[in-house]
Amino acid sequence: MITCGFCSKRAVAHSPYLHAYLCKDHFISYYEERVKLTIKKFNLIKPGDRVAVAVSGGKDSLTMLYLLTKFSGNMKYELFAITIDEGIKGYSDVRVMNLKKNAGKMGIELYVTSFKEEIGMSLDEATEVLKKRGFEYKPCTVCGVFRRYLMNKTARELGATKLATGHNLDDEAQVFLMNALRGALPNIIREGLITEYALHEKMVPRIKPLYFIPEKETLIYSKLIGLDVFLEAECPYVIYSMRHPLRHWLNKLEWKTPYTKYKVIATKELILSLLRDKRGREHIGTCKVCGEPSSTYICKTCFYKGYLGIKI
Amino acid sequence: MPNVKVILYREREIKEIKVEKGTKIVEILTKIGLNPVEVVVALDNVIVPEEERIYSDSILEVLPVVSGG
Repeated sequence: MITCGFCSKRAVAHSPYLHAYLCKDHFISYYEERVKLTIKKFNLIKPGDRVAVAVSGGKDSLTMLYLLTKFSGNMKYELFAITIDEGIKGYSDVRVMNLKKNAGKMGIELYVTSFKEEIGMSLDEATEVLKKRGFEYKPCTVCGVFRRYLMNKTARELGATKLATGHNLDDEAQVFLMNALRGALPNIIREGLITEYALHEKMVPRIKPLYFIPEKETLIYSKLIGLDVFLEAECPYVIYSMRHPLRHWLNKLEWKTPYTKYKVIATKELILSLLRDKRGREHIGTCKVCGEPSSTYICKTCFYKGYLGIKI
Repeated sequence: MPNVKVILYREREIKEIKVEKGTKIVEILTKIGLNPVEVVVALDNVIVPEEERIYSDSILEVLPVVSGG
């Protein structure tokens, strides 16, 4: 039996960050402290904030919702949950149902907005159109754009001062590498632990409390505290994403060379600090069609809506 | 030789395998072709590190780490 590095109890996991094996109790306190420290050290939430927590129902967002609820009393902020129903049959429906149950248990108000109602087309319908047009654009790209648009809009309309997403260390490392491979420097600059770098009056600053947490540790934590995580299903469109192969490649590297993901994030943070100091803050423009924040003349949401034949 | 019932949640599959006494869980995972970074394991209903060894008949649950997308 492997024992905890801090007491003699049975270990549940190894934390590469601490270089130690941890028992259930020590793992839970280690995990919670790391999230709390991230929020405090980087000033992600201030007293009086109204935080919209974007939840999918997966381990990351559900854990984040649980912890933000737990911390809200001491840190003096209020919160509510929002979720986007993409309209992926056999995925979104099951996910939203599970989420309603969980939010109810935590006593958190959950707002659901759907692609079908707000954009005019479900992702299943959009994918059919994309397929007919030879997948010039991938479903994940379109879904990501619509989701970000709706999350910001919904959070703002509900009076949020912050929008929290469950992005973890793995997500951040993957996205950074994808952007690096594409040479998308502006995207690298815009993404971060707190996105108040890009300014627009209609943009709710996004925060990522799980930024430094490997997703494996979140799964362990969520299981240890008994969260009812939506685990079995994976989005059926993940196969079209560039992230699919990249994520496995990165995990293979992590297995052979532990700390790889931490090093990727460290590199990203270094690049960010260098670039941001030079460029100063970026003021985003406004989409000429819908009036939402956009770095281009017409925002990506309106562009894809037009491409898919949805009336703007 | 201990008999291990491996429950693979992602694959929706159950495998019965015999292993040498003292085999590490990580060895079973790599043999099946799984990357230990991408799974969390529970041995007889308790979450354990993959370095844990198996000495008797057990149930090994393998949970996928990678989420929805």
